[in-house]
Amino acid sequence: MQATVEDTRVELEDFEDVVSIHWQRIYRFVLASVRDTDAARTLTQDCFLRAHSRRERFRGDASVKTWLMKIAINLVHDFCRNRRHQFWRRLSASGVRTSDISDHLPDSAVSPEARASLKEQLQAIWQASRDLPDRQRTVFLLRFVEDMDLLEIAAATGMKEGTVKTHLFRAIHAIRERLGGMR
Amino acid sequence: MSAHLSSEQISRWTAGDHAPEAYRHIQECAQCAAEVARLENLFEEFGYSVSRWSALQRGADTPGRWMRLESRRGVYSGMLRWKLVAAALVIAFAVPLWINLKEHRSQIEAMDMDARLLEEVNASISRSAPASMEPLMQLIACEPDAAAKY
Repeated sequence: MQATVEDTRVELEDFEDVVSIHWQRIYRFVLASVRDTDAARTLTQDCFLRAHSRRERFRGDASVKTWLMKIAINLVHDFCRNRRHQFWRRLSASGVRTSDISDHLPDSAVSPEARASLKEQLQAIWQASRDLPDRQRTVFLLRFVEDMDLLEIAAATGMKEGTVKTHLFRAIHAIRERLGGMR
Repeated sequence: MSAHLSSEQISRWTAGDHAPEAYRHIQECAQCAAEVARLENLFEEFGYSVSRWSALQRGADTPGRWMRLESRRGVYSGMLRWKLVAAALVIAFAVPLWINLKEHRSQIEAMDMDARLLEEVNASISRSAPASMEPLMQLIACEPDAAAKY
């Protein structure tokens, strides 16, 4: 354990490396959460600036990835609570088209019909995940976009594993209801 | 074998809540196993699509020389601090100097005026003959030294 803590501290010493390793992951999570490229870039920068200024206080009881994600989650929640953001969110979907993500399907060899169906389902998941409560959306994105397991999600969100499971179940159930009979 | 898993049980399973009875059912029921696999595959595709889409967005690239820019920003803020200190020092020294200079000028002006007055007095008392209609008393010196002088 001591070795791990030391490794993590050493990893933080070269902060430029930390930025280059984790930038895309943090940006992806923030963008999927706020769905605004400008806001996502600003929040990602804020995340690294905050991490840089607090790196002396990092105890190393979680991985750098989890620690950065924790900062990003807090920034996203603060941003989403901001009244101005709520206003703009209501006014327009802040630049990101809902069809955007379904334009990037995997290059698997499926029939055009299956591809069209998949595209439709991905759009529905994207739209449904936007309408989820903040915590459910966060847990859902961490699980299926960031591919984090339940314990990692618990460490990043500060929730208990059981609470993470409950939020994830609710998110999945709500999304499945939105998907309806789509096959 | 019991009836198929409910929609809620399938959602719980996908969320990682693997209850023993659900596990046993999935082992035995091909239909429920297929539904669970379809759902897991769909969410995997979703994650993949979001990753690909996100990687192509403006801002996804790691900013080059991020820390160097940060440290430069630090240097600039340090320089600004020094400039402000220098400006404060200049003001602290310049204001009293300016006040002193002003007082010095007014003293010189006063001395000039005094010198001019003395010259006028000297000119007046060193005349050999009184001007016409000048009162006589003004020409008589009051002080003994002055009387001796004349």
